[in-house]
Amino acid sequence: MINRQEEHEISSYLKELKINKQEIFEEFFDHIATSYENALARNPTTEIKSFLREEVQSGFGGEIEMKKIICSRRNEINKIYQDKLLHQFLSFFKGPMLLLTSAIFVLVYVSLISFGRVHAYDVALLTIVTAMIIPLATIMYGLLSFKANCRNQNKSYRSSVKNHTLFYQSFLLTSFFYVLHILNITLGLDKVTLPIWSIILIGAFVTVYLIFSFVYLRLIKKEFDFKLSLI
Amino acid sequence: MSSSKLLKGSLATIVLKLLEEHDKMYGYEITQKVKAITAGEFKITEGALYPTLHKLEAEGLLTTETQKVDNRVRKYYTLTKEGNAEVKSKVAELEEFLVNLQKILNPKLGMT
Repeated sequence: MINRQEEHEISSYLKELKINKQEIFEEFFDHIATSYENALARNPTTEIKSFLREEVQSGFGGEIEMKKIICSRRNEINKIYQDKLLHQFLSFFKGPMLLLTSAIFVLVYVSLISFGRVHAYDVALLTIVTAMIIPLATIMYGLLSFKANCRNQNKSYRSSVKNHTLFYQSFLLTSFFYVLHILNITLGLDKVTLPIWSIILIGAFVTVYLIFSFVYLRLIKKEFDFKLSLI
Repeated sequence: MSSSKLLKGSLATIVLKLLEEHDKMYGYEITQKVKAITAGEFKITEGALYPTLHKLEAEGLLTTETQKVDNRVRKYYTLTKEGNAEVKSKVAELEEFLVNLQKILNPKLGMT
């Protein structure tokens, strides 16, 4: 088993290479530590610094290759969550769930109409912003909580690829809506009395966002790590 | 033998095959197993192995579990049901490729 000093050397090496996400850090740390232990078994005079420089560096391929590994990992996790999100989201438009979706749409439409057609856009905006802020705020809280937990446990990383990907997706979703809103303001759509057909369209849009937000919150609850745990 | 480039295209098949034979394995174990089987001729670099493992996991062919070993986290990879089914077709595909390659490199052998 390697000693504290050697552990520290491996952590510093990974830190230098900007490996600061839990999954990758833990996996590479174990890989390097195990290979070093084996090297020590073969030759007890092996020094950790020279081992990192000569053996590990060539195997992992340095900072650029490490970054490629992180990037590919992020893309794979992104794909996994996108598939999960899409699968759960589409389930709201199949079988008995379609009834629930229709009920949400009717509710949204009635709400928009009841506030008057002049205010329909504002009501829709408020609903969507609320639907987006809840997951984003939950994730922001989670990121801070995870970071504090890592710091308390003296870990060399402060985030995980999984958490970071979920944050990124939530941020993209919010940004997409923000751009859409700016576009509407530019076109002056937020100030006109909207015709019925466009209120139906906005109602459908709000329904989609509400369902998406719900699905996203469920994904956060299931997948997001608020505290450090075994990955 | 500089086989890393040749190896890269068949790395996923090698990983799947090894995991079919060994219930669960971790990254370092895979590199050492390949090295041992080929008497050091094939050396899988970590830079090639981990993206392959992560890709197979994202495709649902592998699943992972973590265990604490010597006060550090070890990630084990296992084949999923889909992964088990995929191994056979991947190995057959690679074998067929090798037979055809042999026909090109050694046409006399291909005739027999």
